[in-house]
Amino acid sequence: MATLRRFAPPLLVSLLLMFSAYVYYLDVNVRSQFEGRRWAVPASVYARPLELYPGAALGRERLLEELQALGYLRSDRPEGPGEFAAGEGKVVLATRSFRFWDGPEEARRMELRFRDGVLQEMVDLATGRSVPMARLEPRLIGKIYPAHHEDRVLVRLEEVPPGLIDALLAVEDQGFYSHHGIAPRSILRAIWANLRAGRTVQGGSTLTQQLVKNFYLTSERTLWRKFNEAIMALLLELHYDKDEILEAYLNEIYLGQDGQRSIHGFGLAARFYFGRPLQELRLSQMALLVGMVKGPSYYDPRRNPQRALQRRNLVLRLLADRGETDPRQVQAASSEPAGVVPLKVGGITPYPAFMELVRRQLYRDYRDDDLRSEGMQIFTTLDPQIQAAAEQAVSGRLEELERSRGMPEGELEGAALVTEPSSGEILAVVGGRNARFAGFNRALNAVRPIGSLIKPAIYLAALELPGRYTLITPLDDSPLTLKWPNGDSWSPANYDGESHGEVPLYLALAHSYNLATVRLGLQLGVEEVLDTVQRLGVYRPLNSYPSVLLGAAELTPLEVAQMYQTIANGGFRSPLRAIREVLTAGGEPLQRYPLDIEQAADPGAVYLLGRALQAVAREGTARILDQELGELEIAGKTGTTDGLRDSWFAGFTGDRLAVVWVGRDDNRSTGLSGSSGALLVWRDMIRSLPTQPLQLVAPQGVQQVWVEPWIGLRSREQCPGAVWLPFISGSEPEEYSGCGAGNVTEPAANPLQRGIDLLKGIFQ
Amino acid sequence: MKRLPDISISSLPMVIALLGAAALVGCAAGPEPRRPPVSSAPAPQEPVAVKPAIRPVVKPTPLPAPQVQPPAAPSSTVLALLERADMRMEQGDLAAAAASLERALRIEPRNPRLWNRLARIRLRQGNYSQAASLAAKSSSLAAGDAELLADNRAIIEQARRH
Repeated sequence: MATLRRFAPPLLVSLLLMFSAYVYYLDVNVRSQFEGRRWAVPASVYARPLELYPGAALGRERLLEELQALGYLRSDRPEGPGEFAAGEGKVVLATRSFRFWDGPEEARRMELRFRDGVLQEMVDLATGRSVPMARLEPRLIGKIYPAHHEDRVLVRLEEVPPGLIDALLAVEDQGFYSHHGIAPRSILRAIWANLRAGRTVQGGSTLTQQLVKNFYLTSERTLWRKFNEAIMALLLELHYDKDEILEAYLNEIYLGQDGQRSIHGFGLAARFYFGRPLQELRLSQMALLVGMVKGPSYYDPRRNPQRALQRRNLVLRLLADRGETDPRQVQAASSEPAGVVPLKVGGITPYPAFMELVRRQLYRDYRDDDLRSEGMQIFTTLDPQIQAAAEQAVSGRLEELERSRGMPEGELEGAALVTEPSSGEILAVVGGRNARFAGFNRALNAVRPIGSLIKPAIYLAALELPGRYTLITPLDDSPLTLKWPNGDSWSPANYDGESHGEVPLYLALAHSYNLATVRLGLQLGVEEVLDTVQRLGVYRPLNSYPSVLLGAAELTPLEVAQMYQTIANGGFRSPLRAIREVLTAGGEPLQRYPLDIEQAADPGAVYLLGRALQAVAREGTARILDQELGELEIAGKTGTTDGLRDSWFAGFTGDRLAVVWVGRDDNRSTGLSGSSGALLVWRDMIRSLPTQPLQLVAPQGVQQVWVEPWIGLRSREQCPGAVWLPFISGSEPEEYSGCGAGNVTEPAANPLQRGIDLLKGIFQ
Repeated sequence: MKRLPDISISSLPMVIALLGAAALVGCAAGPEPRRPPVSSAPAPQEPVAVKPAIRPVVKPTPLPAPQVQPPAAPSSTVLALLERADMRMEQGDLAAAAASLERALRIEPRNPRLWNRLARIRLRQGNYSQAASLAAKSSSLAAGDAELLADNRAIIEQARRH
């Protein structure tokens, strides 16, 4: 007894001290975590926004497709943001607001009118005035996740619909605004209810306790943890007001799982289950989400729709009991279907090949940790509709080629890139036949011999010397053999095994004659040609063997796209870009990747080259394009490698550049040339896109005249064989052919004779 | 395939391109190579003779030189973006002004005036190499527009001095 009296006070004091120290420790813990960065938010990666303006090549169907992808709802009278109505030749649209790099795009109601696949007019329904331009918010195409794969879309309390909060409080914590973190009475009530039922039917946790549990503690169910939870809940309430705690709860609560990715917070849950922003949810949808708090997997509306609906209707009843919501509204909500959107396949991103490019560009400028946790917003150049067309062209055409040639299924592989020539923006990347599969990305990583795709660099190097070469300079296409000091020799040959004598320069390129090209390249010097390749934007070191002139150089489709980009852009090199801007989570601009160009070649010479590449598609190795797409005036080049291992086509229209590779992963023969393989994929792709014709603009210092290319003399329009061709001023021939000299009108006066001449020329 | 008429580009270069195209095809009566061109052998062959029939035959009078006129008036969208760019420039936000011009260029990539404006902005930002490149790009599209060519030369000159 005496000992007890003697030791009890110090024992009590020290216990009290220990307890205080422990509470202090918890307090520091609670505060530092709540005030510091609360969540690691993954970076969001967006596609390009759809630009709406009168004159845009945007049909009604394409707009509707975009609206569907953005989760817009069809409605008879579109009022709230995210709703639309589609009529004959028009769409009425209530857009959502979105913050872009250069400022916010305000929500508005517009009527859009279409004709012949063109957006004709946009009228603001509030003011009745026409709208010069608007942007839809961009599609989210992927995220860069933290290591633990927690995903969330942060919401501020004022953005959360009141109905959701009412429902949440009605179900989870009726006394939230009056308790101090724990509610002893509801705990007792819960214990009583559970005892009567013989199992756990009711929880006594306040929202604050649930937040603490999710936020700081593991999920083990022990008394010690309950004790910690209660202390921390009290501490949290001591330091922060109710609204702060509620906002944290709304963002923290666990609401589902998608493979590795865990769904946290109502902001993300709204998108994950309903494909829409939280602000646009219907009452029934809010109630469904609130019902899931109790057991996200048990009440998962995709896996257990019945259970989820019953739970939702219970939530709605509790909400009606609170008396703050119109009972008729609640009644109506109870009879609605769940309205859940199908789970998107692919999970992380549907565009793994493009995302690899985005990551590559991002990791040059940002730390991995920041990308995974700071909630950055990344605006890319991907055009989902062009991407879809490119994917379809690759998979569809390869299947067709295998079928028609009796090849085993799945033997061919392919890759494609589409860019915008004047800006260098990458619009689509296809890394293989199965574009959803994040496997070997051939567009970026397959290093393959490029065959004749190198030829434009050789001809450009020549055309930059107008004193020596013009489009009609005769090139010698006779056989040659190169001998090396060690006794080795090399005898290149033409694809058709023939030689064609003396051929005008542009036709040697159009028909891709190897002998003429090798002779030209040797005249210029292999080093000179490789220098031109580098100026066009290819920085991979290449061996300066003569065989490089016939495309022994090995490049990736991405590098080829860079090379042709410079040609399509009139000799101005623009580094290919996948990202436009990076913003912070709060919408503050972090970094912009501006348009960046550098003159790499003489624009006049590039113009002449462009005209020669148009001849490829009109009468050369890609003349199949002329039959259907002739009015696009496409410029391009086919490429085929030894043993038909690689089939290439690179070409451009007025506003699209695309490169296609077809081959096999085991590098065996495909049996396809550039024109029987990759060109067909390219054609399918361009055919299904809206695109503008290529209208090459002749720069200052280029002169166009009628010539007869095979004899290298000036001519007149009416003369048989006369062609209208550009020359760098001063390099055009001066001497006229005999035809039509002094007798300009006669041949034109006889159209029949002209037609006969034409046919003769063709069948010669 | 859906396509729209390009309203903003001067019609003359288009005519010239058409002339050239028509010339190259309509007058293909010269000694054509006897054999099909290389690497087209396995491709589905179409009768070449249909070509003149499907192409709209334009009978051009040969022009002495490409006298390109200043570009047609830009669309209302591009005008609105130019206005916005001017406003941003007045506010001193050159980056935003450049962003507006890039947006306009996405709509009219062959409008030399837009390239020229962007060159001016880069010059003010002190980005001289970009200013010179953009001015050169503008000039490459502006044959015949003496005023614009002169302004681009001035930009390049100024950029060189730095």
